[in-house]
Amino acid sequence: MEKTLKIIKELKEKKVFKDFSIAGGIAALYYIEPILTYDLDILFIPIQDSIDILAPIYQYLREKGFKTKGEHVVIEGVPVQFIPVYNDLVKEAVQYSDEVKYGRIKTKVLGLEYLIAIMLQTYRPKDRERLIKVFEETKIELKLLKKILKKYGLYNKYVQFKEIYFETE
Amino acid sequence: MRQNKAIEKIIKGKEQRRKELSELSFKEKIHILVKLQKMAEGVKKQDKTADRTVWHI
Repeated sequence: MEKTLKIIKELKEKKVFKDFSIAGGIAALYYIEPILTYDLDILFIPIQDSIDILAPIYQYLREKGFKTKGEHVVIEGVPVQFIPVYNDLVKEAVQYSDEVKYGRIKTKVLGLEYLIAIMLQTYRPKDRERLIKVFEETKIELKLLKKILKKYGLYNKYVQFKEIYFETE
Repeated sequence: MRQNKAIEKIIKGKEQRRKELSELSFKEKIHILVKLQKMAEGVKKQDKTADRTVWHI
């Protein structure tokens, strides 16, 4: 995993993309109890808009000898999916992500409050499952969370979620 | 009544364990994840094998 994260960091250093952050199941796992997932999602901000936004990443990694498998690139044994930022919330989440350490490697993970906002926005069954764990197991900065949710029109969805899955607080 | 208390105790214990697990380091959690992937390998459905592989780290 350290080797995988090192290669991903290299993509930023070599200006293949502007910035990145760990997202999805692994970002959730960073905050909650270990959950089963099979890929490492990387949200990234591209250098410039182009038709094939993934091409520079795939080219760089192919030259390094890494193979693709479906929509993943297997980097040092880990299937990695690169996802370009697809809306303003996700872009801001990447920009404000937290720098964390994995062993000796410094990497970036979505901030908890942004992760919650994105999960509320995508709201798939697995997001709801993870949201429940997040609210049960972590300490959330409520002021920041509410600010983000209100900015992106997700506050009502949050209230609704809390009403369904938790007793009103 | 005594049974309810026992169940309450079990639930509390589980909550506590989950909280402890959530506080492990990133690296420790990834080790557990790989163990989970290995455990799930034996029970996964045939048609879902393509994108569900154990990480070789």
